[in-house]
Amino acid sequence: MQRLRQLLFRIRDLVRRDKLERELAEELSFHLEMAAADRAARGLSPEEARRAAVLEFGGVEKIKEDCRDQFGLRWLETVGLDLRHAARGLRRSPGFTLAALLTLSLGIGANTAIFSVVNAVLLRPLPFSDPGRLMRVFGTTPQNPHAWTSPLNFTDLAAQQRSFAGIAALSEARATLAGVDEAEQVEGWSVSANFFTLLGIRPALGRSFTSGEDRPGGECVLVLSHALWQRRFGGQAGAIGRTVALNDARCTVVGVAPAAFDFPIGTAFWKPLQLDPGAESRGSNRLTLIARLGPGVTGASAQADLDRIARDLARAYPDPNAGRGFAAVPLREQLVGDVRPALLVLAGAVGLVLLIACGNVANLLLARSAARRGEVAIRAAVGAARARIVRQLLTESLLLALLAGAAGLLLGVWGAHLLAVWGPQGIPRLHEVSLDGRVLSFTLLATLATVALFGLAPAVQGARPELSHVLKEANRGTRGARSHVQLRGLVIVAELALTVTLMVGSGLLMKSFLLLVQVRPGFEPARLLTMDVSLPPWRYDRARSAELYASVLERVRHLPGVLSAAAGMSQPVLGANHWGATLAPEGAPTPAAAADLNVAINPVTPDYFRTLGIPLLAGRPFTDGDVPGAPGVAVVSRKVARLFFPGTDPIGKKIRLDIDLGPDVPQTRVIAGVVGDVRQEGLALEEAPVVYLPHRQVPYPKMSLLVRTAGDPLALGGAVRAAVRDFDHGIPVGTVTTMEEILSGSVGRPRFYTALTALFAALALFLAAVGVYGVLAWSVSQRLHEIGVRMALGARRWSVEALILRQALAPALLGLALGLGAAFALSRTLATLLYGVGPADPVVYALVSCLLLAVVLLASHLPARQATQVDLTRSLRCE
Amino acid sequence: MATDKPEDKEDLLQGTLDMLILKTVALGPVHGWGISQRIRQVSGDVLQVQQGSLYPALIRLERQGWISASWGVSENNRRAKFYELTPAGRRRLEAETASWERLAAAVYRVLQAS
Repeated sequence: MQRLRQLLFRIRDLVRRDKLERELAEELSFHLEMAAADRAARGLSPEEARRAAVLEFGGVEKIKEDCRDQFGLRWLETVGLDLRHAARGLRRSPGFTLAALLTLSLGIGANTAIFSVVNAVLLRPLPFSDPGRLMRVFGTTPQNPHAWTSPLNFTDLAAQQRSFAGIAALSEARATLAGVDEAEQVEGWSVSANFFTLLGIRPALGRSFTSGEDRPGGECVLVLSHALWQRRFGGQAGAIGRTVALNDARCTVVGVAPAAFDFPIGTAFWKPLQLDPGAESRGSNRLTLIARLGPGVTGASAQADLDRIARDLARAYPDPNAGRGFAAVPLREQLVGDVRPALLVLAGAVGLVLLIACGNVANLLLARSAARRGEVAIRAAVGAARARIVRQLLTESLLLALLAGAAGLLLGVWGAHLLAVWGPQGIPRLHEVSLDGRVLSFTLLATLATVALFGLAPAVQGARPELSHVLKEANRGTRGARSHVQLRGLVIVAELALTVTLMVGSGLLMKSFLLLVQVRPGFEPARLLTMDVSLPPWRYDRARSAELYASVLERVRHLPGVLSAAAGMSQPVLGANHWGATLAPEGAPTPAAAADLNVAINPVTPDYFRTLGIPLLAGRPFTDGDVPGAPGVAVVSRKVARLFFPGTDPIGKKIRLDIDLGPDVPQTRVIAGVVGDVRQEGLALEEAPVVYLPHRQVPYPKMSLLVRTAGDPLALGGAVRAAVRDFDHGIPVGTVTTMEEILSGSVGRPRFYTALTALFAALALFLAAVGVYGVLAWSVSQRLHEIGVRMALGARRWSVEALILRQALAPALLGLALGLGAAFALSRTLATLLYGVGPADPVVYALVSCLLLAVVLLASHLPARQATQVDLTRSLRCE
Repeated sequence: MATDKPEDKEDLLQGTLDMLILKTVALGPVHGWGISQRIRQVSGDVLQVQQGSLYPALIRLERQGWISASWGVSENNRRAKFYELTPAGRRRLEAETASWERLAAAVYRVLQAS
């Protein structure tokens, strides 16, 4: 209680300081007067009385000092003093302050920006209730650990499982939303009725599904995504209860999802999954599952449970289920797992940049403290404790860091916003980047860490002046102690090493990216317009769909500027949208290399290969003669020919496809031609084996339209769209884009990482070069006398230059060696991000070494030149 | 409070000074000069309080809540700060006095033992 009282008094003193001082002075002078009066009353003269009183009183100032110990919060006031002193010091040397602030705020800002992204993508829990217990359950096959499940397997799983509190199924439901002027293709999902409650999501408007709504034959109800609700219904509350035409069925809107809810990514609507067990086949794998672990259940025990059920199902239904199983993966892992390595690499890279920035500021401070040794020596001489001096010097660093931290925070928030806006697709949750408590704490921690890094050593160093040495007249000037110089040299070596590591990483990524974009896609991507055109199945049966595509393509071909047009179920690069089947050569055994291989099946129109620029290697492409009734033909890609018919000519041979192609469509086909391979699913993956089928014989109502144009493809986008719509108002046309944009987007993520690391490496190199220049320039200014002597004794210009350059070369070589070693040691972390480049690529290492040495020489060039231009008489006189 | 271990000289003197000041102030509102005079007179010129220790002590005692201060007019019409004892201070004085008497008696007993 006493302490609290004292503390409160002291806090109050902080604001009443002046009053306290005045009152104390008044009280003491009163005492003095009374003492003098007392002596005068005893017979002394007034002056003698006063003098005696003063003598007896003792030093007034000392008494005041003792009293002041009681006043105020000493430590707080000294901190205030230190801060004011530090601020003055910074203002007095604006060049230093500006350089240090700029360097530090860039470093802190970059780190804050990257951390904001890491925070939003990797650290923040998913926006569901208790997200750590949510799992994604995949079906597994021997070839694919992330496959889908069939409805019958799902119902059995749901009935037999013991580890999950709830399990829900999702099935893709791409649908046509009829509209006033134009039909629109939207991506939705059919989900189990407990989907929203499982995730713990409450609708923003209306309701989610009730438990009965996912029974077969139930009404069609919809929960809209927030975005769709805004776009199509103007964000009106009256949307609830409205009916819309979805795929020719009338569905009632019952709810709207919250604005931030976007699972699965890009969903426009959710409707109940109405499974009719009687109508489903066990082999049709179109469901993906999410589940919530029951209380106290671990992932491992849930997986064991799943394995048990998988074994039972395989035993009960060996035909479709042999070799199939289930795998449970934590939901967050599944969503962000594959971007984690890259983001961590970025965070590491930007951290290195901050270290280098701190190194530069540390060197600046060391130079500065060398210049202030006189001041510090005087402080020590009048009695300042070493700790006090250290604290004073450290306060300056703290002030610097806090200012830089504030500026860095602003920079970082802006930078994070830029990253979120310009970032590539494929980085999940990137749009959730925002400033929150964690980012603020990170910035604060980074700021404090920088103080420790660049402020501590100079402060400790600076507080240790050899008093007699410094105060002697002969030692004026800023010649630093040996330890100072050594420390600065060490810092430069460290900076150069870190820079080299960063440069190697960036170089590897750049080479990898260059190799990636040079991959030949197998077709001509330039000037190729593409869009999805899906025929609503309630208006077009199979025969009519084939006809429609043929008519639309004919009309498009006659548009001015169109060189050729075609359609196919799946297009290259984006082409995961195809059938898969196994293939067997008729009348011959399947070669061992091709056993159990899944090939892609792609129904295409006759002009497909010509339009895309896929080379015809043998035989013929499809013609208008390949119609139902004519012999069933196929055109295979070269990989299929090589794998299934090694060494022989496949033309004319027969193959049997293990897939139901529709009624009256033969599964045995004659190979009519062989075409070149294309990168079907992205540049980084190998070419897939593809079997093309003629569209008229194997119609499919959801094709992609591809149009080769003479000029800019997008200029014709509107015309092509109109051509489609003219045929039928109700045919939705998907996003119109070009193949070049798709290709560019497919390498969006590698481009993003490469660009950012290149930026960081360039920044690091610049900072390191500035650091080298600074140290050398300072060293030259210290050695003016020595250089003057050398030149007076006859040294040539070049030998003096060489002297200075050698001084730069030593740390450069050492830094290079250390940096290359560190890069090699760390190279494994980059391995997953590299394409076609080994982590120890000698070309990259060599280029980095040359670049670094060149930059160091460049940075040393100016000080070296200045050294030779020294004014001899001045330097010799400068003692 | 009983002193079991020998405190250093500084503390003993500070505690004793506090006690003397409290006692002096107990007799009525008095300013700093008056306190030092009174202690000197009553102790027969034996105890002469140094101003250097008096004023810090007065501040400390005020902060601890045992005396209260107010500005008033002295006997010769000058502005001066007067101190008086608070109820808590009175209790403290009693406790300290009792403790001092116990200590003094004990010391005396030891000295008298042959």
